[in-house]
Amino acid sequence: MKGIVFTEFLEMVEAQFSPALADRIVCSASLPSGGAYTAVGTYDHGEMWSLVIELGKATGTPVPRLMHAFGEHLFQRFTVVYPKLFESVSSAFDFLQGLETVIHSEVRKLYPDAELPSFDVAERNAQRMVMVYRSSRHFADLAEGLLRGCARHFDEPIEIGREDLPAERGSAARFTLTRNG
Amino acid sequence: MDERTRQEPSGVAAARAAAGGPQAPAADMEILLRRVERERLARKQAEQLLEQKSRELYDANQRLQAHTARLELTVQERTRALEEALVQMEDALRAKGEFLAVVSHEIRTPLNGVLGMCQLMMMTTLSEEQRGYAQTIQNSGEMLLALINDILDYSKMESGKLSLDQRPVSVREVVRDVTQMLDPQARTKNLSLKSDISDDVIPWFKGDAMRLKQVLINLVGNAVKFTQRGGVKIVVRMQQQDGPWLQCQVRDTGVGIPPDRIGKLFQAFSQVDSSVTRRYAGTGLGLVICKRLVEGMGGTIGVESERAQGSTFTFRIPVAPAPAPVDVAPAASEAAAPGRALRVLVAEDNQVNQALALGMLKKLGVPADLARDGEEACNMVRHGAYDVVLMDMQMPRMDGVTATQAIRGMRGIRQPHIVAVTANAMDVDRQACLNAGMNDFLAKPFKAGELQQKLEAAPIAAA
Repeated sequence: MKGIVFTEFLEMVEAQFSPALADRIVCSASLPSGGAYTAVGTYDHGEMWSLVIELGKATGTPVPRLMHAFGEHLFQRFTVVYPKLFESVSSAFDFLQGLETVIHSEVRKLYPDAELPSFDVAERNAQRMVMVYRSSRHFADLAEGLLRGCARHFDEPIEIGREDLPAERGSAARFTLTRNG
Repeated sequence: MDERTRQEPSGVAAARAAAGGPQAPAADMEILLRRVERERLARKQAEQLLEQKSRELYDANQRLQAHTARLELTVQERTRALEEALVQMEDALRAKGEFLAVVSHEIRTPLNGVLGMCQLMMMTTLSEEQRGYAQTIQNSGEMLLALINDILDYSKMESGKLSLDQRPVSVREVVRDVTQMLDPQARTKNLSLKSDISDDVIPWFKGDAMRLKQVLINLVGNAVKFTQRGGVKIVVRMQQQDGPWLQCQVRDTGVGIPPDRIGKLFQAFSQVDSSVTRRYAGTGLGLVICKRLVEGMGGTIGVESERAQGSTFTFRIPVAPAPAPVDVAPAASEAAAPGRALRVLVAEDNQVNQALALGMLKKLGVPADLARDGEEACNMVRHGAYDVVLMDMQMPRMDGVTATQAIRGMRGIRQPHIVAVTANAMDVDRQACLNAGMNDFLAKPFKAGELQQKLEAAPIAAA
């Protein structure tokens, strides 16, 4: 998993809770990396699970909800860190349409060995878009949060439905995005 | 972080002491947070920098790959262009060779006329002055013919069309012919021309006598040309090396060859002295032809030379012993009846050649009739009893080979001695002539003496 997910997560915890809490969950998660992350590094995705679980314990919030919240926050951070990726895109559907071809291909230019989830567009019309998420990891909750973040960034009233799919390895989910009004 | 704090330089501790001892915990925390913030900012800048550089690297790499692909494409294009150029060049070379062969062949026909007529003219009553002029025409014509033959041979070799006979050859006969032929030239320069053939040289081997003779004529001719004093010697020996080899040497006491020129000696169109003021004429093809011929026979050729001391050209060819050839005489011919004049038929379509052959025969005192093509020749042989037919190979309506086959197929006639008259008396033609039932060959341009020899060799049928 790319380091930016970790650095943004810890910053979110520091900002929304406290640096002390961030320190506590890093210490109690007993991470192989010691919790020293850089955005350009790559780390074991298990560390992300450990951190979120520890945060859940510390705050009494269910892990899926934390993942949703973090996903939404992460998307907003992407718009700040990589403004160029959003320059010529005017709607959430357009952005999501180009996720594989534009965004992921840009990521691969910088990190050729990045393990990225796939977001295939199964259906799309003006009001509705169906995307199938597939990943070797179990981050469908994070993905859902990112989708929400996307809708919020473009300030569009989009309802997101999710149906988990059986997957041989990792996880898969079908997201149905419906534009209201 | 802890590490760094522990190893804090003493200067910092001193500064802290000067500021009035340890700070209050809250203030300390604030300093630490600011410091962490600075570190975090530095990390983010470093990350950004790294991503920017990575991206630049990626772009550069892409450009490089595109460039490589373009280069490969260029290389492919160039290679294809070169291959095309090569094919074109080979075509051009082949065309050149063929042109050379055709032109040389075409030049020989009128030249034969010139030489033949000149010979006839020299048999007439001429003043000393006229005879001198005629002799010069003759000599110049023969030189020209030799050059053309060289070029023709060379172009044949270049286009891989050279084929060699595999018939019984006697090296003693070949050497005798060569010395006989070149002795007059040696004599006029007061040079000796000798041959030394060891007893163990096998009498007959399979090979191409004409081509072997050509090599020797070239080497001995050169030796005579480049020698002013002393002489030329042909030395023939047998050698054993995975079978019998024939080694021929031509030794002279001539001007010799400078060491730096020896390498170029066997290259086309190169003479030792290629300057405009050179003393010796020639195309420079002679030795190249020799080399090709010897190599064609499976052998090697080389030279050793010392300036002003002389040169020795040596060639070796592998030889397989052959039985002595059996003379093939026409079945119908009977014992010679001396005293009776020959009856000769000349089958020839070219007017100049007709005049030439008839003129020579007239000078030799031999009565002759003329047939203008193969068909006419057949008819005349059927009805008139000829001893000898001089049969041109290329004639309209019916060629020489076909006419010969027709004549040999005739029953109840006197079978004549048929001599093939051909412009290229070599390889394939010879075999075709023999197969058709011809008895002998006469290469154009022939001299009166050669014609006389051929006629004398013909058996005269009883009347």
